[in-house]
Amino acid sequence: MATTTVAVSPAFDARAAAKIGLLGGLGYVFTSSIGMVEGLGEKNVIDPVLSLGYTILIAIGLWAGHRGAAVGLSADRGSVGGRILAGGMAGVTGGLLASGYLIWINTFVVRDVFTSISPTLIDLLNLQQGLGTGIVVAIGAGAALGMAGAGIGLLAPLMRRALLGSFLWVLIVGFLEVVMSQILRELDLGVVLAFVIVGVAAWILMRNFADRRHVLFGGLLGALVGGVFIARAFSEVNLGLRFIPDFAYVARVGGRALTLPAAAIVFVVAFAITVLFEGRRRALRERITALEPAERQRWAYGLVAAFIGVGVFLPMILGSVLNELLSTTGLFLLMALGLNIVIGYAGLLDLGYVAFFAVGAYTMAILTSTSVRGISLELTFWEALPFVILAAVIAGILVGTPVIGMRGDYLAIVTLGFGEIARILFLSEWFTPVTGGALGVTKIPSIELGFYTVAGTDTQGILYMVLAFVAIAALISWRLYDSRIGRSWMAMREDEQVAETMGVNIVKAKLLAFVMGAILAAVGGALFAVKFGTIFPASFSIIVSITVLVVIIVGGMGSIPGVAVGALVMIGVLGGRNSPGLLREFSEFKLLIYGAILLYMMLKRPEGLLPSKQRSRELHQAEALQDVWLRGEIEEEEEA
Amino acid sequence: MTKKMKFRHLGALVVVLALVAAACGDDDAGTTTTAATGATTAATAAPVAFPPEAGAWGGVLIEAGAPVEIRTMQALADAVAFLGVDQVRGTELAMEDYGDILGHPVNLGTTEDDLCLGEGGAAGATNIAAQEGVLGVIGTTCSGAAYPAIPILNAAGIVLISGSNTNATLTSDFQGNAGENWMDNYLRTAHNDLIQGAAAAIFAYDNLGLRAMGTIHDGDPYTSGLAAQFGVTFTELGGEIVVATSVAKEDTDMVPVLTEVATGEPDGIYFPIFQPAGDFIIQQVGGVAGLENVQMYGADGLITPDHFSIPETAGVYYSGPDLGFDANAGFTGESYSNLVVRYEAAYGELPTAAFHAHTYDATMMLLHSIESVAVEGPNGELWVDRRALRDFLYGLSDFPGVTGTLSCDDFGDCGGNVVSVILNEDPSDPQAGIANVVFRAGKGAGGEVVILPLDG
Amino acid sequence: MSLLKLPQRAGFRFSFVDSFLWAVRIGALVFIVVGIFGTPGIPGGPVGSLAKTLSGEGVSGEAWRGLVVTGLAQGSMYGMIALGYSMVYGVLGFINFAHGEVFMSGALVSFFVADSFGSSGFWDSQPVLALGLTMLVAMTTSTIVAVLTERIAYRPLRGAPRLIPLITSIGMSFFLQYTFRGLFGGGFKAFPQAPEALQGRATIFGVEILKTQLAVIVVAAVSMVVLYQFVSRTRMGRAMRAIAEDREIAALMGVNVNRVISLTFAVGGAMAGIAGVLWALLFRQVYFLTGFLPGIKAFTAAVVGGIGNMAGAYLGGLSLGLVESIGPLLVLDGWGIPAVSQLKDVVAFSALVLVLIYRPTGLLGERLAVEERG
Repeated sequence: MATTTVAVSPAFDARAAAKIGLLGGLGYVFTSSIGMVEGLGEKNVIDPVLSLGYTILIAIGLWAGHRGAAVGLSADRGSVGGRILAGGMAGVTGGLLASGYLIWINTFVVRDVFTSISPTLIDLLNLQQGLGTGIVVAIGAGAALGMAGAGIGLLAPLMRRALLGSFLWVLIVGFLEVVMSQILRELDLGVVLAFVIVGVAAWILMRNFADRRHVLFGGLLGALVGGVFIARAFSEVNLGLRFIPDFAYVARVGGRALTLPAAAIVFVVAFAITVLFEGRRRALRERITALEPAERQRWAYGLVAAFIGVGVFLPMILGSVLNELLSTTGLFLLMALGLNIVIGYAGLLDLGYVAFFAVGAYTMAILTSTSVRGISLELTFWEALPFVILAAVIAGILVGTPVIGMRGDYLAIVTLGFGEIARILFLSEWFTPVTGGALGVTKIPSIELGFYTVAGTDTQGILYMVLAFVAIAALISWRLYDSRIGRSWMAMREDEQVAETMGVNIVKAKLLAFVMGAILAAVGGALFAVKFGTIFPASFSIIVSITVLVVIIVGGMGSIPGVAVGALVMIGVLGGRNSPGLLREFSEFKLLIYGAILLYMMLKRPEGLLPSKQRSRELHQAEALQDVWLRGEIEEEEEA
Repeated sequence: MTKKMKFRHLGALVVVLALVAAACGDDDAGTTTTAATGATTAATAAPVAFPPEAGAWGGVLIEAGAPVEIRTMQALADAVAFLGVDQVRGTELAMEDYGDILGHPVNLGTTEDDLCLGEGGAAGATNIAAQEGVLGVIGTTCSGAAYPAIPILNAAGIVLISGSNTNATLTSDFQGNAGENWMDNYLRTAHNDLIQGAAAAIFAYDNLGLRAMGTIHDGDPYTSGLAAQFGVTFTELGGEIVVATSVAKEDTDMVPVLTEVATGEPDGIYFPIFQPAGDFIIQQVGGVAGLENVQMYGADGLITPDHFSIPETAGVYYSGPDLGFDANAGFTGESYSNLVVRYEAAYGELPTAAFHAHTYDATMMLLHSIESVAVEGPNGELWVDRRALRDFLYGLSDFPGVTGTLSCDDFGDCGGNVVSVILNEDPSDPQAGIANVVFRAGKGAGGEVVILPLDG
Repeated sequence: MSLLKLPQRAGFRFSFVDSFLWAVRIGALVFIVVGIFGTPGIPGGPVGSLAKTLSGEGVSGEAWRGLVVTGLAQGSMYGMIALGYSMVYGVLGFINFAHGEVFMSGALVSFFVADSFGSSGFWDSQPVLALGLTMLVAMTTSTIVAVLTERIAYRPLRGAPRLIPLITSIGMSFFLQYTFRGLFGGGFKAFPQAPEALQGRATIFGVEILKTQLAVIVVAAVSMVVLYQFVSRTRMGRAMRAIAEDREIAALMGVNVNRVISLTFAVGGAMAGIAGVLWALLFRQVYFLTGFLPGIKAFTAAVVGGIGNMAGAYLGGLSLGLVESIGPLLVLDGWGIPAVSQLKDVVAFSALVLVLIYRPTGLLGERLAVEERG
């Protein structure tokens, strides 16, 4: 019945749906040909039914169905059958393309050229059967997934979110096997008690003393200190949750995977929570929007306090793996906050930012190293830190001054050159007596705090140090944003000439941006040197500059929370070039994904994940101002 | 004004919290160690004599039927993958040959990528230390990755045995002085840089009769260390290093660097670097004025079939860890020649470097030591004391391996430290070139280089 | 925050920045002159590379000639890649970072053709035809990659703020690199040795040159001439220049902007494809990162020559190639700095900074669309 309705419906755009299907098919061909499907095929998310490789193919199918239905029947949202059919059609089209590909790789030996099309991949795509099965599955699964994808599009938004969200949770819990096991195994009573006590105290204080800031902050501080003592007192009482990971995960080649029952439980729980708490969530949001400005301000402070509280206790819970990961993320965040000042605030495109990071790391390393090689002044961390900052200031001025008169893109290539110059000089035979050359600097000592020593291998201590410096850097960035110099930067970013006419001292503003950025990066470098206890020139390649740039672009240029989110997503989850992230399974495809994310972000969401208001306004204004006739012409051609 | 006030409050709060935070970090460092022995305490509740009391590093209780956990950490990506992947395979083959330990299977888990850098070593070691019951790690590929990995694993009582770290500071100078990066959980079956550089120089001076050499490294710690040691010994012998220079790994145009070397009018060039830079050097050296009759001399980074099939490599010498393993048999009696056959069958290619053999032996040493110190429980459990495992490994001597007989010294150098020089005569048959050993040398009792006969 | 209190008095801007720049200009000049000629008369001072050569210690005359030829060959390839950067910058006003990957794609794909020619013997029996076909494949691949890149990634961003297409192109660069690695593997692809006809040396004006280097220099020069003729003589070429001059006016005059921009990418791609084969012929090894560093260098060359300026790109490439190959030995070696060859890129990038300090618009001056000049 539905078929006929659709067939006569003038709104049904079969070509558009098929086009989406073809895109999906291309996705299948692409991920298979570059080795993603096979490379991730070994990693099981849910044992034994679902590997990561298949997950990707399934996701592609669902996407094609969903988009195909939306595009194919944009004007006819009401017809359930029509939409499902459109989705199925997109799926089948993709499946046909996939079958063509399957026939090709099954018939010819193409591995001499396309190295990733291996017999294992062919078996995987054929489901270990012959080509016939492969084709039937490609088309059949394409149709089924396409219809399912369209079906998902038909669900109520809440259900859709719950479904996808719960599945995402299963994936996350499956991925985080090492981390989850460690947390649950090591969780002790002390931290949990501390969390509860500080939480309750904070709630009471916020409720009753919100207007009396001294009481509020004093009380919070007291609660935190008390919490720390409680955490210490009960830290040896293990909660005995190790049975959970023992039940949930099973050892397999390529790492441990979630068992089917555990996956089911996670799914059901996540689903239930999403559905049951939907009302609450909505109510909360309404209440927040209804708050008066003054009240909202107060809640914002509460949020900051909560962040600090979490920052204090989280490293005690997370376990060494996450602590290590977060310290690395924090180091990148420090750099990103600095680069955010240079690019995000002042609009100076610096592609050689790693030079300042290297200067900081090397200054710290050379001044403190206890190695017999090279010169050894053997200062302490705190004695060396002022010199690190001084070196950063000098480096900032040295790099900044020659480029003051240069236009944006010249700036990019020149700073990129400076970055390479720095790395090569640190590596060179010429500087070897000071920098250790290729052999680097080793034996960089721990940080002495007087009452405690933070060794580089002490993941928790390092995380506290990094968090402290990140907090300081964030404060500085935040204060600068609204300061006089911050406004000059932004004026300069918008239009240098106008800014100058308005009385902005361009030289001073540019140099200050470079110097501030350099200081933050150099401090990051100093911590980096301590964390690893040894540094090599290879850690300071061009790719670091680009990674930091990616962090602020993805997060949202100019916005401090945005930069933090960017660092968490790109460094913490995905991992930098030289640091494995949470998703180590993807490490082989990390830079491919980097590239894809950059492309996607620039085309679809150039303002970043958490943009600053001002920046996104600018971007959209620019869009609005695009030459109308030029746009018209593009569209014209597309239609032709 | 009010804004400033708030700011000050927040600032003060942050500072205080940082201090507090660090203070409780202090405490927690203490708990981590207790947590490590936590497994022990829990286990003591079991039957009377089992498990025995744990040593200083704690111990691991393996339930009946549960696997013995070991891990690998090697460089898996990009330019050094051929070294790292080769070693993972060495470990896999050794596990296959050794089989179960007292009825417990051995689990290798996920291989960590050491990225050939400190960052990778630290992250990998942290990851491994966070997993329960890991007894030993085979790795790392690069010395640079080992520096931060060693202390992290040391704190967790886990031994690290490398088949390819060669940096001298990781063990000792052979004169009884510990290297500055040595820690007592570290061992290696690879040779020490001191030996290869020195042996290569002796061959150049004595056998080839070269007196003026240029050296080229590529900015890698390994190659620069090797070139430096070569220079030290060559000068001691009476030769002269006329130009010591380097290239960048990404360089393609080698004429400038070769011209620089040519200014010193050397008789030979020692270039212990990797592909592709080494390929470019050998291809372009003929076109540089003054270097027409210079003897080229590479090292193990270039001992690959690809490089040996370049026409210009005819007549070029290469120093490297000894590859003449064919006559040897490993701990289980598996002969090296058969191992290579199985390697090819399993992975579809011949070994890409020599180090799979060193890791094969390293893995055997670890598995054998675990089995030797393991105490069996009444119900099929296994108890392994970490410190006892470490002591047993350090005490190993005359351990039969495919790379020769292994004996560990006080600083964890276990390898035979035999290096050889090979000559590529016919680029159309690279495998024959790789097998064409013209010089062998090893470590004498006092840490000096001794020349070995070619057939032993 | 005493940092914030830099002196505020009038004229500060000129006094500080200008004196700094003058110090750099003079310092660099002194450094170069002393490096070459040394400080005769001052005992213990730098010897100078020229003095070294004359005393027979340093680089011989023949070796200098060799360095010049190598530099020219390398520079020719930089120049050809630089064209793509320069033309795109001239028309659209952003750095297309992915252009290095366009170059790599041609070299990498043409490997498979060259490899099969090499093993079948066709490579040596019909060198011209074989090389021509290989080049055709490389040009086609590079052109397709370049045009697709523009169509998918850059066209939707037309009119967006500058930074956005630039970052898009960085993303594209990664994406292409790792797509090619995924498709064709991460290992080095060894090109067959140059056809026998191109092996050995030829003597030109009394200088012995490797025939491959000669071929590279000649092919590059010929391609440049052909391209120059195309741009100055044909209708499409004129349209291209018109758009570079002022996009809006050109559009009003009836030029199809999109088609011409595609054409710009195609031409840049084709040149990069030729450069890719020349590269493979000279160095015989390509892999998925082959384009990264030459790409950066080529952009440097485009800036050195004067961006948007075609002759400038070629000249910039040649200069950069020469500076890279001669510079370290000519200037740094004279100062007695050890291991100067590893400082090659330091010399190259310093040259970029110096050129921009001396001549902010590059050697031949930039030619940019009206909106970019402002």
